[in-house]
Amino acid sequence: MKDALSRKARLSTAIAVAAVAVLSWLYAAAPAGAAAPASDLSGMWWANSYSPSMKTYLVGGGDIPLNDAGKKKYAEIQAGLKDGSITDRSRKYCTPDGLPRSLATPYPFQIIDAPPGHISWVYEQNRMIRGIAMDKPLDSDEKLSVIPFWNGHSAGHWEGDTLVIESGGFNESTFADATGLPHSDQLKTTERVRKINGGKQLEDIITIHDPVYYARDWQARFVYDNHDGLRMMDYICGEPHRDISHIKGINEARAANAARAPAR
Amino acid sequence: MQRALQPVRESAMAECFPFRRNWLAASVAAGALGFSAVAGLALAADEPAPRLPSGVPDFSSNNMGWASDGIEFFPVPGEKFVPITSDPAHPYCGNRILPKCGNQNLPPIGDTANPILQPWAAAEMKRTNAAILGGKEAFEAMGRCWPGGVPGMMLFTAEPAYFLQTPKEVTILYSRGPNIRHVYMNVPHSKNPAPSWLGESVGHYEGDELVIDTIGLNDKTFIDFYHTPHTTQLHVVERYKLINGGKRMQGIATIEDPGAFTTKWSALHYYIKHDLPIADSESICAENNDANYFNADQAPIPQTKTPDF
Repeated sequence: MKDALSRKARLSTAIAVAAVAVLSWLYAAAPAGAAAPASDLSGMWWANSYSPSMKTYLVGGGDIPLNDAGKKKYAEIQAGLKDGSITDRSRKYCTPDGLPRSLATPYPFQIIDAPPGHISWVYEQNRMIRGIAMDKPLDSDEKLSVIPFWNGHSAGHWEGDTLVIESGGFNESTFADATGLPHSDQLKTTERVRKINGGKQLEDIITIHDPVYYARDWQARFVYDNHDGLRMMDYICGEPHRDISHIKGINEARAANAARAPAR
Repeated sequence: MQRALQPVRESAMAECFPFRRNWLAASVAAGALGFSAVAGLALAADEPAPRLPSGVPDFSSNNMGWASDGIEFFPVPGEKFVPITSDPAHPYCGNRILPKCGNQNLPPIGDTANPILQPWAAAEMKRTNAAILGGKEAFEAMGRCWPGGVPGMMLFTAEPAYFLQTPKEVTILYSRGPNIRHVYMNVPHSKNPAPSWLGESVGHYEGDELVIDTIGLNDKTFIDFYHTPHTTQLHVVERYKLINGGKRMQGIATIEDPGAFTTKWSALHYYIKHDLPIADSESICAENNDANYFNADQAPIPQTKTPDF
């Protein structure tokens, strides 16, 4: 039984990896414009669609590969969110979304090639900051566990025109998506980020490794449009924010939230 | 969110330190203690400061952040008008200077006789002072996880701030909060920017200085931790300069607000380097501050009734 599951898991992983490879080839081959400049992702980026469920972004389709512990935890979180015994602090108090949830933000974010030795991701939503140390390995698990971060600790390097970001050292205060998908403090992620479509878009494919709650690694893919020239705005929890009603899927998400109010 | 007097816990400095990072607070305080002996006496002598390849001064901290030296503004030497200081009858004694003031915490009571204050501003501060002396604690934006405004943000960088310098923008990332300021370089202000917590900032370099001009501020914050009020007419020009070979930084704010002050005035503040790269710095104010510790009647931290999305 275990071997069968293992074979199934390996097969699923292989399918997902193949899907990423095909997608990557398609996007690399598709643009007719000028090639994106290598090693510079600086700019303002903004998704044009939003889904509360990570399943929407899952590479290869199908279901999120929760293991038994993951299914149990997911059910507990969803029940807790429904009866109010669990708070979605990222929406109630606007604490950071963590990974991979923050990648689904329907608000703009900025990538800044600074300070020296770092690349910084600055989000409008929840005023999140990700400081990515470049060209140095991620700290050891032992060191990362001393002070776990909401958005994890990140280290990056370039592989051609792709920024590879490895993250670990997450706390367990966030969900993997807005539906309450779980992750543990053993979560590790690898993101491959690059410009596509001649630099008009940014692609971030994240690999989720969390053996506590998932039967195998899985990947989610996010695409953002370039909005250079757009200025960031204040984002204060509970105050009016910029109009994002044009983001596909946002009105449906808000309607669903309103039906579940109050926030918790 | 109104700025009106609301009971809040003691010091803004204490509020946003997640408990597990008390070492950081302690180290910042220790550094501040060592430096405070010279701060405010005179502008520090210049030594060559690091510069970026483009030739502009390098505020990017070389894998470090800038931490505030205390939470008070100092007078700018030679200036006639000075920032609000402690009421002589009620000297402030906070964690940073405890050994020098009897090791007993005393709250910040601003000197309402300072001639920069318009009568209504002085009256508002008197009400605040009376409430504090009566045992209550006044609302302080950063202490309750709201942005500190400008120039307030200059004071409350107990946890490091990072200057990200690019040709078109200087982005200041304040770990504490976090808070983010976007300074658009070499462009004019837009016409009538909508009031916001951190306003609209444009900037340029003048020799060794980074000059930041800010308007469009709401009136929900205070100028300083003495609860000096301001209006939406507030106009702040900050001038940051590396001193002592880039080991420290000074910031001078020139403040105009015809709605709150009788005159233009300036204030000085200093920063010390904090050995914490941005990749290792995360301090989420709302992490521990949603609880009503000690049953104090605190102002609420920012929160939603219905999720944004």
